[in-house]
Amino acid sequence: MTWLIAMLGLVACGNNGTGDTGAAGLDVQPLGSYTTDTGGLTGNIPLEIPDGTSSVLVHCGDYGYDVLGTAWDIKDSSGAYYYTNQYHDAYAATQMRVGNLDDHLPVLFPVSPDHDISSGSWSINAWIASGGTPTTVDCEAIYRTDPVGSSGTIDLNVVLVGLDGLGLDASTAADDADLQAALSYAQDLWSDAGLVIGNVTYLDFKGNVDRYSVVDISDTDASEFGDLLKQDVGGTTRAMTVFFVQEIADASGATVLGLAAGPPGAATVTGTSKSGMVVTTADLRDAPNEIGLILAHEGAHFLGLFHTSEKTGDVQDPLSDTPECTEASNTDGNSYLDRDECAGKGADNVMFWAPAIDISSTMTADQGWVLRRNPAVH
Amino acid sequence: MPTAQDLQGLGDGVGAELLEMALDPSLTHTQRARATVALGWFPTDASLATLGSLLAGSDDLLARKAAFALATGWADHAVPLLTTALASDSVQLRMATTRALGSLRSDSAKAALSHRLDAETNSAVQDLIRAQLTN
Repeated sequence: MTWLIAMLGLVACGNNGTGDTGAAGLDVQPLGSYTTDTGGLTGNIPLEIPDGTSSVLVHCGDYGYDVLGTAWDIKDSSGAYYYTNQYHDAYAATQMRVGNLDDHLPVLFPVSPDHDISSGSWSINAWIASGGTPTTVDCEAIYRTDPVGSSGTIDLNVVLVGLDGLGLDASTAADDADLQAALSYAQDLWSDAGLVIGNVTYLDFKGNVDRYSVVDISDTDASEFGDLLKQDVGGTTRAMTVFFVQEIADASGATVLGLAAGPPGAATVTGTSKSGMVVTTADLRDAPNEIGLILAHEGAHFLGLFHTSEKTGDVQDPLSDTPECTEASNTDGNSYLDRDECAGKGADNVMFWAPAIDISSTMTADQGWVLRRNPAVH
Repeated sequence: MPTAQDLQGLGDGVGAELLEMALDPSLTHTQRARATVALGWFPTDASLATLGSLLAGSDDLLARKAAFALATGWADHAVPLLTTALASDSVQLRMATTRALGSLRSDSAKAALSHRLDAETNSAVQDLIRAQLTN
C-alpha cells in the first residue's frame, strides 16, 4: 500500500493595495494609472531606482480574475532590455522570470544574483491580456533600500480562519505545540537560506469565516483564494501574511496543502489578491512538520522563488546553483517528474515542485540571496 | 492527484486498498481524505457503505470528501444520502454537499437543493445553493 500512499500527495504552488509607506528601508513610490492599448500593453512605466536599492517590487492592478497579466519588458538605465517576454520581438533568455498572474501583477527583480540591478532610470512595460479591451491599472513601486546581509528576518502575520475544531485561535496559538513545531520546522528549512522568522503576530480572522474556512479553487477559478488575500487582517505590514484555514479544496476533490500568491507575492502590500499565502491545517495534529514544510515552500514562493524545475521538466528556475531535472529524466513516460527521477537533480530541495518531508530539506546560496532581498525581509 | 485512469490502471485490489486507507488512523488526514475521494472511482457496495458512514461521521474533512465521492460514483443514486447531509450541523459539510449535489445537475439534485434553500439559515450556504441552482 506504500506506493498508493505515495501517489496521493499534492501541493500547489500560488487591486490596488498600498505598500507600507512608513517602514524604514522601503521607498514606496506611486507610479500612477495606466490604460493598456489594444494589444494589452501599458507602455513604458518609469522607475527611478534609488542608490542602494537591493530589490524592486512593482505591482499593478486590479484587472479581474479572468484576465492574466505579466511583464512585456523591463529596460535598465542604459535603455538595454533587462527582461523580455517570450513573445517579444527582442526576446532573449535572461535570469529573470515573471509569471502570468490573474487580477493583480507583482513583478520582483532581481531574482538571481547573476542578473542584478543598478540604480537609475529604468522602465517596465506590463502586458494585461484583456482580449483587446483597454484596461486601466494603478501601479506602485517598492524599492528596498536598507542593507541586505548574510541573514535576514521575516516577520509573520498568522491569521487563523475557523479553526475552533482544532482549539486554535489567536489566544492559544503561541502555546499550541503543533503550530509551534510547524513554525520551527519551517525555520530549520529556511536557515540554509539565511532567513530567520522574527516577530509572529497571531490574529483571529474577522471576515466571513464560513466562506473562507474551506477555500474552494479550480483550474479556472481561484477567486475565493484571491478574495481571502484581499482581506484587511491588521498585523505588521512589513511581514508575510499566512492564512491558516481548515482546507484548500480543489474542484477534483483533492486537498491542496498550501497555496501562495505569485511567485512573487505582493510583499508589504495589503488589500490585493497577491497579499499573502494560505496553508491547509488538516494535518496539523497528525504531522505538524509537514505543515512546516508547506509553509517554508509556499512562503519562499511568496518571497520570489520558483520551483527548481517545473513538474514536466520543461522550465527551470533562474538560479545557476540549483539542480535541474529536465524532460530527459522522465524515464517512465508519464506526465510528471517524480522524486525518484529527480534524485540528485533537485528532489532534495525545499523548492522541488513536489516537496516531501525528510527529503526536501536543502536550500542553496542563490535561493537565500533572493529571499533575503525581498522587501518583506529586514 | 492521480486520476481515475491512473488508479484503475493499477489492476485489481485497488478499491479494497483505498477502503483500508480511508479508515486507517495511522495515515495523515489528507492521505485518508484523498483515498476517500478516490473511492468514488470504485463504486462497490463496500465503498458505498464506508462512504455513507464517513458522511455521517464526526470527521468533517472525511465527511466532505465522502460527499464528493458519492456524487462521483453514484450520481443520482447518492441524492438521498446527500440530502441528509444537507441538514448537517456543520456549515462546511453543508457547503460541500451543496457542491456535490450541484455537480450532478439533475432534476432530483436540484429539487433537494431548492428544498434545502427554504430551510437554510446560513448566508454563505444560501449563496452557494443559489449559485449551484443557476449552473
